[in-house]
Amino acid sequence: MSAPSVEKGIRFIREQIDAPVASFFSACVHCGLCAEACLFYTQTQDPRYTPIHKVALMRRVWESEFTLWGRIKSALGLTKPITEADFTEWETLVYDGCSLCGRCSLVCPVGNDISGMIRKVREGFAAAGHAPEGLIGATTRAIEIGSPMGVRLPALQAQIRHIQESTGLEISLDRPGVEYMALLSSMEIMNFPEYLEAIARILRQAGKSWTISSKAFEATNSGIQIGASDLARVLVQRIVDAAEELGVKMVISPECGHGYTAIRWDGPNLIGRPYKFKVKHILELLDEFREQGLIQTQGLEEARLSFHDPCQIARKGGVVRQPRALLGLVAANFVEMSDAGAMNWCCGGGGGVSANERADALRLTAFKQKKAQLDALKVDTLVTACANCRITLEEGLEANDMNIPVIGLTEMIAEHLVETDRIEEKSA
Amino acid sequence: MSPINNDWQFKHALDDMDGYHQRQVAALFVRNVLDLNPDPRVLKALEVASNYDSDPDEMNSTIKSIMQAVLESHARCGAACKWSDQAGYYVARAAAACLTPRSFTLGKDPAWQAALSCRMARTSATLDCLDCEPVTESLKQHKILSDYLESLKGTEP
Ligand code: SF4
Ligand code: SF4
Repeated sequence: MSAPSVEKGIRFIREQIDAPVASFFSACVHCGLCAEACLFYTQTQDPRYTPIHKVALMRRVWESEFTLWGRIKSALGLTKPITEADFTEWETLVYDGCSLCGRCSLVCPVGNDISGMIRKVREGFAAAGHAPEGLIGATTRAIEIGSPMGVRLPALQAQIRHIQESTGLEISLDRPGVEYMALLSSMEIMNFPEYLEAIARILRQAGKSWTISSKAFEATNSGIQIGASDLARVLVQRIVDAAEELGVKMVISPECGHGYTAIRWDGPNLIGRPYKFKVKHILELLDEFREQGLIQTQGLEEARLSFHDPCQIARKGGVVRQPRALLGLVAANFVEMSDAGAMNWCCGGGGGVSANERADALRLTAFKQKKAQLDALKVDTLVTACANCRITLEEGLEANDMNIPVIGLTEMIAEHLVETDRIEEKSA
Repeated sequence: MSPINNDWQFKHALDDMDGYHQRQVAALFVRNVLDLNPDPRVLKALEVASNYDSDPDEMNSTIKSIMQAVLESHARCGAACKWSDQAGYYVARAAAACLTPRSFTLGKDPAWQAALSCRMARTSATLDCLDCEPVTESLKQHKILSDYLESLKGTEP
């Protein structure tokens, strides 16, 4: 692999300009609607955070190489070349100032997938050596170790042992022929072990067989976040190989927004073929169990609570109805946020922003959008379904002195299951 | 009362305790892993948790500062994991569990939550260490609870 350089970056950007991207640039009517849809713009009022402006370098490549007028200008030496300084300037817009939330793409009146273009333009920035340190480190660890946070198998095994000992639940590794293969995010393994316990409890009650692969337990794909399709492909292929080797019918994506997009939507395109198994987000699966009467719950949360839709799950994945149906099982006082569902505002930490320390102050500024939504609601509890959203929300709430706990929906469902005493079964 | 020998007896004994005793025994579990997190906010949380009539303002400010300690010590998304640091996070979580209102934790028992986090803390501390002894935190907790219940004998009606 050649060293990063401006030339390589420009070449990678050029390679991303396909017919849809070219038509997006010609179609833009400069209406500014995408700006009003972007939390980084609305909360800073800085025009540089206008979504379409974030892909201005790509636009320059397109103009100079794919339009007649641009080619004439280039031939006459009138085109301003893209320089190292341009990459430096736009790096913070493309990585720090965009969570790849996709809200801009939804409002554009001419149908420009601006979020998709930003994702593509990141390919050029990574190739030019202009990606944030945090994302470079995460991607390197994901390739070398299998987890962006460097979580190794013994750590997962220790957590499994813990849960088995304290609950009596069975959690198997590498069990062939089972129905489901569950993925986890490193964030869950490190910070929220309750997620693994929750799915073990729910799958047990549903009477389903499942396992975790020791070769591919990680759901996240930092190759996609940084904008390196070749590395993203390697990470998807690991999961595909493991699932096919175990012969599972379905891979369960955990409470991780971008992990879901990576394996469910980007994966088949990256590896160039359909999977031999299905992929579902844990909430989709839980809602199927609910419909089939496979999970029984008892009791209702009395707190006034709302649901934060993770962008990748709701806006990009269309999983909007399911969390509400599940909350209907366990919550007596659910209230909907303004702009809920597909139009929900991002927490500000997606797309690698939370992995990028340099972006911390900007992320907390962008969080004011979420704060405004919550201030209007006056809830006691916030529920979500993405470990990264959860931490980002917790940090934003804390920074704004808002005393609201954030809880994962899968864990909430597990806590309401009607089940015989788990420990009693094992130890009595 | 016979000594507690397994998690079934352990959990049932905790279930039978009221909030104040749960907080007290949770604080004892955390004291047993304090070597993994020297943050003074953890100690403060344990003091307040063990105190029968803590002032509500002091309680609120202590909850706020221990929650800050939890947030400051969690692993950030995409950062390289350091399990020794993560041990500190779990100690802070355990200390927070001693004080967090049940409405914040889906009604879970504070002492059970603290016990689980303390076990995770001890396990985390050994994950980067090849020569470390196998973790026996749960056995230690059984003994702590047995001793605590024994100490209550005769002090309560
Ligand atoms: S994807 Fe989201 S964060 Fe990025 S530019 Fe569009 S609206 Fe803004
Ligand atoms: S919303 Fe679409 S048409 Fe309007 S400025 Fe943005 S990209 Fe251009």
